[in-house]
Amino acid sequence: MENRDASLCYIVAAGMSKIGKRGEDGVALFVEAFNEVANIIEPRDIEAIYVGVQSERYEHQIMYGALIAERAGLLMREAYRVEACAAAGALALHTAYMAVRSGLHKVAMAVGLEKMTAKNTEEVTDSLMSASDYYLDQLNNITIPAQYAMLARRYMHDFGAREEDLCLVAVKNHENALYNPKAHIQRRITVEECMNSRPVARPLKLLDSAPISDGAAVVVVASEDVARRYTDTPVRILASTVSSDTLSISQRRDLTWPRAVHSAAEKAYKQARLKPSDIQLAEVHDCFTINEILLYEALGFAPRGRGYLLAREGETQRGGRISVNTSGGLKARGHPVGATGLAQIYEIYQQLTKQAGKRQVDADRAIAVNEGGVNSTAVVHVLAV
Amino acid sequence: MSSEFLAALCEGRILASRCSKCGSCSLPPRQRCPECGAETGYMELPHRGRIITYSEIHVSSKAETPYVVAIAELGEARLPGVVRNARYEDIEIGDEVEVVIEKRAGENPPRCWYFFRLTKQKR
Repeated sequence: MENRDASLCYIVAAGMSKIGKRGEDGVALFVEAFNEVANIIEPRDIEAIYVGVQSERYEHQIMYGALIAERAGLLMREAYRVEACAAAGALALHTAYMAVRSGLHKVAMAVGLEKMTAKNTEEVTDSLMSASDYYLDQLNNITIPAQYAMLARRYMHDFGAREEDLCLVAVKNHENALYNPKAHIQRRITVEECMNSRPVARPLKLLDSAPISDGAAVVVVASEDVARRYTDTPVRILASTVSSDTLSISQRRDLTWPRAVHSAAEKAYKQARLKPSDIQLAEVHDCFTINEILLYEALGFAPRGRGYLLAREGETQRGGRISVNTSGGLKARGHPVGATGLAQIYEIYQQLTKQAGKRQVDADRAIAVNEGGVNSTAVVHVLAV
Repeated sequence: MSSEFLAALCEGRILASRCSKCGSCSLPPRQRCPECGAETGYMELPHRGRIITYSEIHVSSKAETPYVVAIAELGEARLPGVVRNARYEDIEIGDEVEVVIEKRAGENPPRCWYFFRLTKQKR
């Protein structure tokens, strides 16, 4: 695996704000995240900035590329926004990775941010709904949670999973977040509490759902020839891949198979020359509990229809066969939509560089899955030290 | 070709597209097959089909909650929609629905839209 490819790409620094219901605006949260990397790298070495943001509906602001460059003291840099709803964060990293691997830039920064909590739940639901097919889903008032709920209903019908099995994912991720000081929710929950929480889109309930959060994260990448100027423990990006599927789940032949995630993962495993059993740590897009289970299967951690058994048997707990969502996941670390993909990478960076404190696991190969819509844009990263 | 879909609804027809090469069906109709990129042709769908999945929405800014939604298989294509005459508990996967097309009030298009009516329970 150790080829001397001059175009290799490394993560040399990562930063993240505290996730939660924050008083500050989105840009202030970026500054909080940026301050964490500004001590590690020389900020003026950053040649390009790519920013993932979901929606201008929250803060009536676009032009995040230029805005972030301005606030980071990096005017005149190449800087622009990328968008794929909740996959925007990882997509920003993919763009930075392409910039470095192409040789166009030596150091690039991916940024993700979202300031959501100033809006109420109905307004947020409506804003997220623009990620779905206008005619088929929006005109029918089929919300994004309802689309995941329809996946859950069909999955339970086909494979015998119960609502309690979905809740086990929430219980695990809440438990993990207890050890993450930057997590939005630090509260232990039980399956019973989850089962009794109010419905959002049946069979999914409030405690099956990621919270509405504010937050920002940044990841700085560098080419092979300069990476060690900044850190002794660069984390190599072994693969960065993207695949797309229909916006409406109704147009998919196989409802419960997140095909874009599987496709992006296949490409990523091939690029990284790894197989699913080589992966020790994963951050996956558990916007709703059902999706973590579907992603176990798409990533090859479990055979088709058996993903829910991993949660039931504790195989994906912290320190289990594959530690999944040690940060608490979207479910409990929180889900500031545009920042989420990079919050996942931040967690993996902390883990692989042994800075994860009380939630540290023993891992040197990890995968991250960030998706937008309803697994419509899937972005997969494989990272290793 | 969403405009053709909307126009057909006002004539009481549900219009999909079908790939001339791989046979894959899509809604709303589109010129190229999403699977293989080949040209498609129009296909009219039956007004009855079976529910392949469903949910009951409790959080929404768009309509009074709760309301039930489902995806129905109409012939070879799949159409999502609102089920007007049922609660979550009334439905099972495999139940039959009928598509009912109606004129919409108000200024905003589309002028015609549809909903599902649960016709009978699975035996």
